[in-house]
Amino acid sequence: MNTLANPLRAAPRRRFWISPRVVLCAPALIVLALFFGMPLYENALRSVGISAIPGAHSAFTLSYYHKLFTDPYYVGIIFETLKMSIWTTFWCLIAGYPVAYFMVRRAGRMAGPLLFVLIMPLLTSIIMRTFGWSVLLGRHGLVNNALMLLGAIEQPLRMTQGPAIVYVGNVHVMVSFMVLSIIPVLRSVDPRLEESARALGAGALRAFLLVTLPLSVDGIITGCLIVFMIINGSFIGALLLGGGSVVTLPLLIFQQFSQAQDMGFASAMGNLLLIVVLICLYVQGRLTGHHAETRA
Amino acid sequence: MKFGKLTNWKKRHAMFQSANSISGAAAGADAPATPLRSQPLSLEGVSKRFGTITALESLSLDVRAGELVALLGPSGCGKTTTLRLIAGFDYPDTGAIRIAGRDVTNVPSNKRGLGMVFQNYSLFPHLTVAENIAFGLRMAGVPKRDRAPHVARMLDLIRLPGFGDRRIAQMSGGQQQRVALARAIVTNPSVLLLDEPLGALDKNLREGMQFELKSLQHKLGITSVMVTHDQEEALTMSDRVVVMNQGRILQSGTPRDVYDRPRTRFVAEFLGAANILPFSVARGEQGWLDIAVGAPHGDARVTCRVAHALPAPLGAGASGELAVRPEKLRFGAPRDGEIAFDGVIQARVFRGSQHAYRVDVPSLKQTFSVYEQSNSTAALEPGHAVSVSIGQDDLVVLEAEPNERDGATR
Repeated sequence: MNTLANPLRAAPRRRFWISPRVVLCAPALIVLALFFGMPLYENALRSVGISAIPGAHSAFTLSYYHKLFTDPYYVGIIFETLKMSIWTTFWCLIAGYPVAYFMVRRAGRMAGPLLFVLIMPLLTSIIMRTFGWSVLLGRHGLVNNALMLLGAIEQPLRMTQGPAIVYVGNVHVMVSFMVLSIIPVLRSVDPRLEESARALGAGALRAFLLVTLPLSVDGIITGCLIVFMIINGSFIGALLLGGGSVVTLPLLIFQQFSQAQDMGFASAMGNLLLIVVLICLYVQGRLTGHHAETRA
Repeated sequence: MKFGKLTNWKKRHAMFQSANSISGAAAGADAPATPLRSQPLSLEGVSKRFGTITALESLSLDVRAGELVALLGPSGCGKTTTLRLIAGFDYPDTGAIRIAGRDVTNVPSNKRGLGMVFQNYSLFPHLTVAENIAFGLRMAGVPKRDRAPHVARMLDLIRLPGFGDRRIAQMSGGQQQRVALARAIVTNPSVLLLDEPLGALDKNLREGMQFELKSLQHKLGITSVMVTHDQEEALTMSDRVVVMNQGRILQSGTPRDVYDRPRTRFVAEFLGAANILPFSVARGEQGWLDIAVGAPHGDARVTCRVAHALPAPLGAGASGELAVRPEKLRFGAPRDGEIAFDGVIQARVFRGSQHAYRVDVPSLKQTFSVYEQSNSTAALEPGHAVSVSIGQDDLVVLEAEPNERDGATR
């Protein structure tokens, strides 16, 4: 009898009613499903030997993963990849934190222009930025030519060989992300906290280490994970600057896809990288979330 | 080098130990607490410029050991700059700062032996209450196990025992205020600096904390400098009020003295409400003036004799201004030693303990502000004709404002 009391509730048009929220999200969801969800799904299947394309050869196998995790060559590459990402992240932090600190605390009116200078390279293609280093440091690059002209050296230095230049290129490309992650967090740290530490007897360094640094740890974590995740999945540096001296997982995937045409193996490696990224995201959620909780 | 530092640690540690035992004994015997380490503070001709702006101009100030001095003034008057210079966050361009006779002008903040309470407390949000309080001890190299009793003593002192493990964000504003105070005084500093210490509290809490802070400061006998723009806070809490404007000290004295005998119009109006009356001099002597109150060529002029503390008496024909507090004005016919003006009540506001009236005085072409105790008389309605009486002794002869500083604030 209550249903009779409220005629609106029984309105027939309600049955086809779709929440406006769903309507607004639909375009993005459809694009993501088609061009992100589906390929990921297919990739996952392909890595275990199953083809999503009907009629193609399909047989479940774990051989790709087996090869990836047992062949010493590939295991070595996994570690090389992680090592590369960790060190790049580390150097980005070492180089980026002081810049962020300077921009928030010391730059004053210069902060705006500096921020522009920091963001500008991000508007340039990552390939251009990376390739720039081989122009600078190449056999007949700017640095070598200048040194030769000055008579400092007689033979061009071989600076583009070996992993060092890959690190230089990677750090250069990624350091902006680190700085941009730390700046907003550092900006939220009241500079008077450092002053009160000073008044309580802390030297400048201790005031920084005991107050400002722990309070900016959220920005450090975020910056580190962004840099780590991007470098972990990027092959530009290794490809353009490494000259074969640094082989990382993404580079290998690129080669497997474009040269060896071993799609299944490339998919398996891609999934491994995806898992690493997911772990990073989980870690970030846990670490920064926990920190915010204790603060609130 | 290393050895020197170690002995320094030991020395400081011994100091904390003795501080602890002294206050412990005093509390046990319930005797008046011994001032631990009262030290004088002095600023001598301190100037500070920021770019083209002169924040302080040759400011000299002596704070006696154990005294609480309030720097009072509008924003931009230089009071905060003064505090920051004492704290060592900025360094003066000229002049010297001495704490306990030692020249600390160029000594960094962490080596001045200060305690400081910041406007928003500046408690460390990533540390617990106990860790916050212990921070200064930790910086002084007091070993961890020795910090605990000091922290416990402080928590007792600020009446928050058992709150040591709380997070700062879990504490109310008033509690945070007390923690900030504990953190500032646990190291037994020679000078305590308070930057708008009660500014962030709501009114009721503020009144309670005024008493609490004052009595604590008195008990510990710490030389203190407080910065505030709240005149009531300055009057209630301090032993001495220093009124500042445009980087200079305008007047310094006990709260009562500065309130009752303001030297200039700015001081009179900044420390509460004041009625400003023009006058011209009939005869001037050292110590007193025969004056006519009212505009120099006004119609109704009231003559009387007032005391003055001007550096030089004004000659006949000179003019000036008088200040009188609204609560000194009285409705009713003048008695002996009083002068009176006829007026009409324009508006009335009930303020709880007082009625505040605005009274039009046609003879002076001026509106008086009059406060009457709300229980003393029946409230008068607007439109009512009244006689406003003022005691001659309550009229304060003001000095002319110092000339606008030449090019200082542009």
